[in-house]
Amino acid sequence: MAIDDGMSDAALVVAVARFDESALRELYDRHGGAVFALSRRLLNSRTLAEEVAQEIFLRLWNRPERFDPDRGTLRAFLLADTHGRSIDLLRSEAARRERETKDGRLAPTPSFNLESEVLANVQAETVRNALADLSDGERKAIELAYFGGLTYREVAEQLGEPEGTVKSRIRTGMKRLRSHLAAAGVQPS
Amino acid sequence: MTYTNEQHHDLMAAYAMDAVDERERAALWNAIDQDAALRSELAAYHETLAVLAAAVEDAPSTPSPAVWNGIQQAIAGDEAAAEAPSFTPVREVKRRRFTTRILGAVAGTAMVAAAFFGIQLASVDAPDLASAATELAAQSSSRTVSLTDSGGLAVDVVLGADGVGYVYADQLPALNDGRTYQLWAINDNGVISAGIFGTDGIAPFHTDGAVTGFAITEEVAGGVEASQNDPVAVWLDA
Repeated sequence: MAIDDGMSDAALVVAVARFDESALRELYDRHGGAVFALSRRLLNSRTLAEEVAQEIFLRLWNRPERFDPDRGTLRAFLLADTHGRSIDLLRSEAARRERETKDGRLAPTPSFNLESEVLANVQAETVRNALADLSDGERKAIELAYFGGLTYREVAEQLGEPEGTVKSRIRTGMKRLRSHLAAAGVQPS
Repeated sequence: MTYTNEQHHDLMAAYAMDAVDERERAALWNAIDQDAALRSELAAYHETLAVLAAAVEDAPSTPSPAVWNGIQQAIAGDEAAAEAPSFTPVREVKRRRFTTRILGAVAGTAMVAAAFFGIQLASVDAPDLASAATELAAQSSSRTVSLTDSGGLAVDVVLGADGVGYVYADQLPALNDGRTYQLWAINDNGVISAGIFGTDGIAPFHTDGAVTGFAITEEVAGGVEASQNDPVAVWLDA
């Protein structure tokens, strides 16, 4: 199969399943930067983020059938994989530090403000508006869970809130974000 | 612990951002596998999070060329190239480490680390798999080996010369909810995960190089990248 940059992601994944390395390269060119960026933001390490990026695309090569185009975009699939792998590394590193220092407290929360971090472009403006629609509690819970790598229980402990409240805020906040972005027609690139 | 459907939905947003604990993750993984509404909800959250991730990206991000080089080397199985000082592919590093571990496990030491790289699963029906496995076993170039434990368990694996193989998964004990079996293949370069499977019929896999051993571990649903468990059954080429 001749690979060109006009092919859909789904068609390229089919080609990957047929061991077409140029298809993987095209997907890497399209999504490698986003995969790397998310992992680097979570891990705060270029080296580890590059290892994660490599692993994510090797997983796609080895198990292309894990991606189901009926269940969403490849970008969302790869970023979900990236987030999971990065969080695994983050937590194993936090556990190692905890064992070494015998300090049972939570890992330090990264300094992060979701609203101020959203950049200036058209899509980002929509995201900023969507974030502004959330309550402070919802926004903080999502920040700490998604970008801070904490479980909702750890978020609850960090914020001094009941676990159920935090779980509920994550859910309602995500639903509100989702409906806001859907109404604006925003999709992952 | 068993969760209600409402509790599954309550946890789904946190699950989408990896913010649940291991017990919840295993329970939800199983529920998602069986519930189209949960799968749809999860996919929608992942789309939303992908937009959010892109919106906070502060500059065009480009991994170094060594990353793609490492991917190419791992795909090609080029061990010599993988030793290049610029960037050692993750896969190769972990595969070498795991070789020692899994061989130790056979001698009674717990496995500690492994690389998680899956397999190309054939998209064919179960009866076709049985036929394919039988045909492969009949070929002179293929091998049929038995993975065993000390208690009399024997699990047959057929491996063809091209690296395609089949595990007779129905010879394994039944699994509890939220659990899976994971096959590990050992070759000259190390050990890789050859995939996860249940106990229904025959599971196909593909592996590279001259295989000198197999091990099966029981893991949490979805498989693991680092196994902490002793093998359920093992075969090593004498």
